[in-house]
Amino acid sequence: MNSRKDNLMAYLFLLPACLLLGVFVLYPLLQLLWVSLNEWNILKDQMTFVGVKNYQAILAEDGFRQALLNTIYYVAVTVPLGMAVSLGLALLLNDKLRGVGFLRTAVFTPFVTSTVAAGVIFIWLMDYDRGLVNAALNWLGISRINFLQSDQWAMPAVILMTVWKQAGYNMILFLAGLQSIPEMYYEAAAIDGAKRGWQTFRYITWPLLWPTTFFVLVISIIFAFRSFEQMFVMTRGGPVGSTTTLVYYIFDKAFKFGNMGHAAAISTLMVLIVLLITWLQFRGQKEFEM
Amino acid sequence: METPRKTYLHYALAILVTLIFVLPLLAMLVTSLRDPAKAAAGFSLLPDGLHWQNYVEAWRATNFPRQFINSLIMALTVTAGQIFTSLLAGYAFARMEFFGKKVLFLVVLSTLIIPFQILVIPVFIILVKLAWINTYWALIVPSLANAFGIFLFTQFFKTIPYELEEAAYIDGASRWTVLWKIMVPLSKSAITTLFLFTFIAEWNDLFKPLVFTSTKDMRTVQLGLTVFQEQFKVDYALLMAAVVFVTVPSVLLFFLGQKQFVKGIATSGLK
Repeated sequence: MNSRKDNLMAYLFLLPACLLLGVFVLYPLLQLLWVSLNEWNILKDQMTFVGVKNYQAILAEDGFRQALLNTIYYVAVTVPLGMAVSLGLALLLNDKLRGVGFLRTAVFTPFVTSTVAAGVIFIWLMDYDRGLVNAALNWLGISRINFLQSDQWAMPAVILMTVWKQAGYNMILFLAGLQSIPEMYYEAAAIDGAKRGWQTFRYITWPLLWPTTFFVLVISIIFAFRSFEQMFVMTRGGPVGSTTTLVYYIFDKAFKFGNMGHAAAISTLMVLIVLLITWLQFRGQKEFEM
Repeated sequence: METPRKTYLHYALAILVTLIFVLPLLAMLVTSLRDPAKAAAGFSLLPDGLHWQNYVEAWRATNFPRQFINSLIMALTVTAGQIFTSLLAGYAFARMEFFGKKVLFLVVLSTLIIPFQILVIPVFIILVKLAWINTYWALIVPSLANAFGIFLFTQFFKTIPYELEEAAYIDGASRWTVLWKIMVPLSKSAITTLFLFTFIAEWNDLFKPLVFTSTKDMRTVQLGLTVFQEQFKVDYALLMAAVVFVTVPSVLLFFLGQKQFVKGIATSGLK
């Protein structure tokens, strides 16, 4: 085939996708950096270059520190909890159980409901005197908790909803990982007298599943890190900022207060954190590929 | 092999855990049909009749019909657009040789790393300059290309034997013809996967309509549902009815295309 013609054709084929990604991802990335170096309130419509002043202002803000801590808290609880739940589900609903497909579908369904729908359902389940959770607490003789109006309990409530919604997705990944472990390892272990259960899990399943576990860990962190919608629906970032995560803080700064310079500075810091996570992911992957 | 007793226990536990998982959805369905006054008074897992009127009232209350149309326009256009741009780019990456191929592929993939939420400010500024805020353009155009779809088709096309195209090229067919007449009919499963992922993601999205629209008539269903929730607060029967009809399209599509959907997730994990 004529290679010159191929060049031209290839670029034509790539044009729509690359143009769109360029305009709506790559160029915005550069513009983000530029905006973060300017003082700019969208309501006043004027931009003044101020260097790193926005960053200094942000880092000195209590609100930013709280949002950062909230995000760390949210990620640090959601990720391990979500992974434990979904690994448990995958082990429970594995292929050795016949006719289990229906149960898997049921567990997966929350993942395809929208975050808004799931959030509204959980607002109701966590309602102080009309919700299922408080009805159960009451029945157990524990005093009711006003989850979404409490700065201590709002975040756990949001986390619970997220874990419930995401578990099915991670379960599918773990199931695929479990399937890739050859049955002969278990047979060999059985011949050596190992009992199926904790022993085979500890010495066969867990080490051989590690690449999958690592992948689930990375995307769980990335998903959790960008969370916004569940807080918007369930708590509006409150009470008293207790569920304001970094993305929520950006949203407030930009679209409630119009402070684009500050919002862009926080976004840029988040880009750096995302790049760091990705770099760690590549390093981690290299390790078990060797 | 598990002993029969162990198998029964396994089944019992599996069913119990699944029930706990779907309990919120079952409770939602039951409550959507309860007597509104009773549902607002307290929680119950038992139905007290079939109050279909809840659905009618919720549907009419805050202009859901208009929001359904908006969501449909957004989700269908974005999905069709993404399939189109991804097919073209995927074919170029899988089958054509050109200058800068490797670098360009890496650049495309790298766009997956940066979440949209972080880029919302500059994208918002671009849309303001284009005067697209609060129009369908703002909801559609920024999402028309996505690296996930490009990656999906690139990998899928590589699994199709080249011999199938060769005969067509010998007959003088163009790249364009071969893509649409030979590759696309062979790629139904990958296209279905991308269709399901994109449609469901767009239908369920709140962030984009929240930031890029400002008037009532541009609201999508998810944004509409948050407004509905604010207005109806503890009127849980109506709220759950609204949650049900907002959720039905994505869940229905998932049930219909379950196999492709799950396979898409599993392969993204194994790479």
